[in-house]
Amino acid sequence: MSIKYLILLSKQGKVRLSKWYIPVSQKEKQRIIRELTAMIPLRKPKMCNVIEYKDSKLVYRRYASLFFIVSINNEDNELVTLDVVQRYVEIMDKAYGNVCELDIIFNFQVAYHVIDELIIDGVIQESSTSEVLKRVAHQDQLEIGEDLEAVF
Amino acid sequence: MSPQMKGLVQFITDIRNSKEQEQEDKRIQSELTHIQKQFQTNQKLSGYHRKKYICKLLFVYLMGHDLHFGFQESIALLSSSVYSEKFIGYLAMGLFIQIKPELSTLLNQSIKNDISSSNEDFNSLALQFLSTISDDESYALAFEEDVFLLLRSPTTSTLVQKKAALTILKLLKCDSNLITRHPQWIPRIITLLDSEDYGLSLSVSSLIEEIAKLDYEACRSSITISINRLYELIVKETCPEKYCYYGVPAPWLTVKLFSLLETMIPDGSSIDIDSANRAKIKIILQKAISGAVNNTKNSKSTEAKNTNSFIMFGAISLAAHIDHSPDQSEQAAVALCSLLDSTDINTRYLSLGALIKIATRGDFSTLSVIKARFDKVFNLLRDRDVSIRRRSLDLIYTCCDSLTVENICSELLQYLNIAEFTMKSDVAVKVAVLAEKFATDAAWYVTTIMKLLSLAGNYVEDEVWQRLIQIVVNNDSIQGIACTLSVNYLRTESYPESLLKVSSFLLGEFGNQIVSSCSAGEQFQILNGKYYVCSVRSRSMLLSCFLKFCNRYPDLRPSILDLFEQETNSISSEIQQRALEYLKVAIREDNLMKIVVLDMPPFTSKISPLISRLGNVEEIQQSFKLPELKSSGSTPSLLSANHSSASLPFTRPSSPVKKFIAPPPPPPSRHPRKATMSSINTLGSLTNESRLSMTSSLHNPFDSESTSILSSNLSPNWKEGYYRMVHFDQGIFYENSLIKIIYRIRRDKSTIHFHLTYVNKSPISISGLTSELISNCTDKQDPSYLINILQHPESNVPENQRTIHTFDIMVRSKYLDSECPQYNLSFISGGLTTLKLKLPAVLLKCLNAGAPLQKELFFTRWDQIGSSLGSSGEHQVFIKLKKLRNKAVIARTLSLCGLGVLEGVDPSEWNIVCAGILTTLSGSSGCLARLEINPQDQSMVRITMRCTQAGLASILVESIGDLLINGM
Repeated sequence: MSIKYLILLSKQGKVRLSKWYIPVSQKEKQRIIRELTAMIPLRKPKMCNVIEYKDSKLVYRRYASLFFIVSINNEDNELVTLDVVQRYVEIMDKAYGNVCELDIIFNFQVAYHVIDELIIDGVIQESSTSEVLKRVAHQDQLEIGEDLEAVF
Repeated sequence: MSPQMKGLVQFITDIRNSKEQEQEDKRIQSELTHIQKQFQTNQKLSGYHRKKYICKLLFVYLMGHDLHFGFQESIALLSSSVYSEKFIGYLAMGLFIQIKPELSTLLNQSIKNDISSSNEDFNSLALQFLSTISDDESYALAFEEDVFLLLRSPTTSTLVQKKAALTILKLLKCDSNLITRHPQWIPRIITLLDSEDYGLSLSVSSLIEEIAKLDYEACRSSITISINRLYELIVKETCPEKYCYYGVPAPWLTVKLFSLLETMIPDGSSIDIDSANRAKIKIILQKAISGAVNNTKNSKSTEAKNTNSFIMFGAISLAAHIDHSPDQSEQAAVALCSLLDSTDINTRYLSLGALIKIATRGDFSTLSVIKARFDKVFNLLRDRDVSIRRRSLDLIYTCCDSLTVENICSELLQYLNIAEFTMKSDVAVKVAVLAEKFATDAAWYVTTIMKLLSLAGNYVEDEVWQRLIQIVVNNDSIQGIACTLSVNYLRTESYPESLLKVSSFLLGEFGNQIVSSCSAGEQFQILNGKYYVCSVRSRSMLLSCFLKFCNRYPDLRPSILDLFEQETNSISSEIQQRALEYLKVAIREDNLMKIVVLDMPPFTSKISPLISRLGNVEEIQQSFKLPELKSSGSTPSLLSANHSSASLPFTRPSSPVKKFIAPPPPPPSRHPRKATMSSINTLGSLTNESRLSMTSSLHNPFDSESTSILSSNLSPNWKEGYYRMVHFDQGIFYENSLIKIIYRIRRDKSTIHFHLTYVNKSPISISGLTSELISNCTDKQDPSYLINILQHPESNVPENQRTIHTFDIMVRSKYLDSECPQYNLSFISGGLTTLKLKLPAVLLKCLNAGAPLQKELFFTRWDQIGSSLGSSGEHQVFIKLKKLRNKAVIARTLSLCGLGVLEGVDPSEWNIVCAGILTTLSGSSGCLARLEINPQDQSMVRITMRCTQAGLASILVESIGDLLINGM
């Protein structure tokens, strides 16, 4: 299983986070995002979470005002991907403390850090919530430590 | 939460508060200008400020704006020794990914520093970054050694190891030669699969899967590890709490291992798995499939349902891949069908997809399972979700056969009425193809397609009606029916244009066949009535039809000529041209018209043009029928790499190198047999090695080369255990300070049972223990022996504990000792230990003494072999023993080899005579042997053997000679 890209799209079509694991030009990225914006938010809630898009599959899920969209190869397992998204959201929820869209906007670096601890190059590296959270907490510790140093 | 940067928060708030786009752009522009100015002018920019500015730039970039500066500062950040600055630096560079060549040296140096740093946080950031940016082989060349060092080092934490494993995966994707450069890495990587850390195991399994696509042979030992791990997870359900996901033990690892196994068994056959593993995997899959079905039904949360389903889909995919038995796919089909009425929409969607996959195998019982539940599938055609509707259509299409075609087509025709616009054409094409493919009754076919045209004529591709015409032209029996149907449909109020086109052709060609029920005049009237209410193309076709009428029915001629005349003034140039030409042809005096409107000759094209319109169903079928193509990777670079490795008979990349340093084969002599004899006649002054290679050159000049490759591959102290095992049927195969391998051999006709016990002698527990037996048969197509693993050793052996490994060698025909299997063992006890030994499954192990022969009988047989087989039945060598042995000891060795020593047959007291029967699956052979000890120098021995099978004597004599010299 290999994820091609992950995009967090708001209901209004604004990108809140994007992570590309395949080489794509900035122009191409914009085009894909435009097409996704035109497609995903229009789907009805009762529709299935998989759609075929070009030569790949899109797996998406809506959490409150955000759509989490993941692109995978046709032969990849869709439900695993859906659970990866779910796991990502769960971890962010714990990392931010009841996550909402605004948290991701203002502290986007945390969202990126979590995804980097979960996935490398489109391949899942760690499935345990506690392991990832340990990393995030560790990073917070480091930064607080730096701040203290700066004060003294 | 980490402390926030006030400036950044303010900036984001400002942008969010912007009422209009213009205001937002203005805010961004002013900020960009400010930052640029700061970067350019402020020489003493603090790390904090740099970080803040880069964060702002990042935010701007994420909003979709292009950035043209800030790279230098990002690199400065990532070179900082403060973690948060480094983090933002890497994040920024990872997102921009427009690395300018002039900065890349600087950047690479920073990455290198961080990878080799002792700070694991820095390691992690650098690895994550490297796996994001690498896109060509230069990265692999620059970093592979450093990254691998992190992966293999026992002091690296699993946290970094995980990332290192996936970074190697990325580098490997960039440059598939990485594995060719470092074949010795593979065993190390494979042992990590067995790691106690599930995250590491998960990452490593992805890496191994990729390596296996390039060098499948080298990864074989991962099969056993994967199966054992799956057994733990699925059958024993042992898993640490934190890796359970909604009560399911390590679901990600499970599906990863499934997919790894799918790759490891590339040709879709289960032949490559030994029986011990096959039995285990069968249990695993059964448990996974049945367990998941139950759990899916019983579990409450969506997540748990999802997870159970995806494990089941993984298991079904693997089961379909390795086991083609009807039971297996039938079981899978039943399980999948039961999910079709799941309330979860994704489950329905994916069940359909999986059903399509197993249905494409075309297995009868599987199809009947699905067909028995067809009403469910038809219901899904009316599902709310279009994706599901499409898939159920594909499934129906896949399952169709000549028995069900009529039912399916009529259902689909009904469905056409309610199908949404975008799907109509798809449905129509499928009906058309199915009707043609499975029709047993031509009349039914015509009726169906005509009905299809009448219902969906406006949505179908031209190929559909064109194909109908081709078939009608080629089948005399249905032409009349087709014409009648055309007339009937045209008489209805609404009809699609394509139906008019078909009718104009059919009536023009074959209308005369139905004049009894519908006269030519009526036919013309009907068609002519439509003439002014259709497109130019249809009108053109009608004109052609009328020309044919004009030729066939003289009484219609005046009205048709009128029409032609009138249409010469048409505003469409196409119509005008046709009308003019037809008019001229029709009024000419000669026979031109008769030639122009000759009967249509039958079509020759056998392939329906519709096949190309089938779209993804056909693709699925193709990809599933040829799993090896699918597994050969999705990227072109992989494919080419696969080819290159496939073209080498030794996929193990070490062999070319080893071949190079291996000693060159002895020069082929013109009379190899004589050469051996004469060299031995100099009374054994040759060393053992050269003698061995000389004898193997006797059978096959190339063989000695492979022998020396083999022995140069072996661990240095392999010989002791090898000869002990040739000599005795139980003892110690290998021993060092960490491990002891005890063996027991049981002979059973042509089967040799091996029973190995591994004892952990080290003070710590052994992990990642894997064994591997590699056949060295020269004839790979028709191997002389087969290896059948009955039980694999446990991969973890605590201190002072033992584990058992049993396997059989089934001997099919004779082979040289040099073809004996290679035995590899690797395990981690502190560091990685790899043993490469030669397993003496020699032919001698198939010898049995049989009933003792009388003196006369022995000589009669001896002579019989001599007269019937000549020199090919006999072989003789002189050997010089390294130590003096008395006759009784040698006789005992011979009887241990399986020969029956015969007393009182040979008159000389210095000679030993013995006989035995050698059993292989291809038959038994009698073997007679005589050993003559030189009374003057008792270390000199001559061995002569005669066997009832040509070429066998030489093998056995060499084996016995080898044992007597080296094994005693």
